[in-house]
Amino acid sequence: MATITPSYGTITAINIDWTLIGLSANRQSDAVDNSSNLMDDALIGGKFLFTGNPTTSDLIGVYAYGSYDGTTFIGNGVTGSEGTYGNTLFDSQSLDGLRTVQIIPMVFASLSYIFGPVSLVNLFNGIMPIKWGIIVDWKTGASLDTSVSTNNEIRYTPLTYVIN
Amino acid sequence: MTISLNSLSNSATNTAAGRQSTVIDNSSALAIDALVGGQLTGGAGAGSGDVVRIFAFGSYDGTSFGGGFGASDAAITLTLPALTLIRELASVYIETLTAVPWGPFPIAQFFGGVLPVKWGIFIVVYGAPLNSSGHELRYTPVKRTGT
Repeated sequence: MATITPSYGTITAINIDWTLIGLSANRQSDAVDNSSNLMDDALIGGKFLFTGNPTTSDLIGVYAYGSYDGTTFIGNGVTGSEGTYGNTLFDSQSLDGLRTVQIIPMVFASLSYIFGPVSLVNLFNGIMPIKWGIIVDWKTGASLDTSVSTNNEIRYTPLTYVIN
Repeated sequence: MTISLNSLSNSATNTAAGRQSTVIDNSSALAIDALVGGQLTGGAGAGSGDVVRIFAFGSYDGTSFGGGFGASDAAITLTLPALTLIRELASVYIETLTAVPWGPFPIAQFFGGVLPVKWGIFIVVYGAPLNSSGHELRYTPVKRTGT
């Protein structure tokens, strides 16, 4: 009798330059290419560390973008390469097609903000896009502590289902 | 599951001060889902409107947990907005000294259909403190087989 089990793959960092992100400086990641590694899903999460307390009502929006053909990316201004996200203030057009991974309210007593895990497949209605990536919408003036490279990250755990 | 619920005190309504369980490591068990449930017993003073909120939290990398939880049974306090970073399973009314069973809830659906590599439960009391005994938190691993 066969048994289907999850296989958690190697945890992998999403490439975003945290030293360049900030208020009115949103950032998009490199796209992750699933055409060869053929994940069934990706569990996304991350953390942020600040040098001071954010202001109440500040927030960070983490979104996922995808591609339906491996070339064209949903979301106005998404290129699939790490860089500034063209829309400095999100509006209905720029949000069109993006999936909300997590909205992080910036009112914690602690300075460490950890979110996840979030299933990418669930965000895309049950199917893993051939290419996908992350956009971070920075709606806070608080500064990240980038003194240690692992202070801030968005990572994913690849997931495949194995028949034993 | 390991969680110290005996006499768990009440949280102020403007925060979430409760107890987290020791996390379950699925990296070797490789369950496809887990059905969680248990029972809670009200303590002296339990009355109308007393409620216990039950949450699930998970890890995206096996080390860091959403909401900032640790790996072991411990008292934890979150701000109310921080609750948006974890998943609420149920609110259970505990209005008498009678044990109240709850569940089962499949954990995977709260994370989009996938069981995180590590996960745990967080319980917060809004009302009279829980009884000094009569609680349990358990899960049944689920595996999918076929021929």
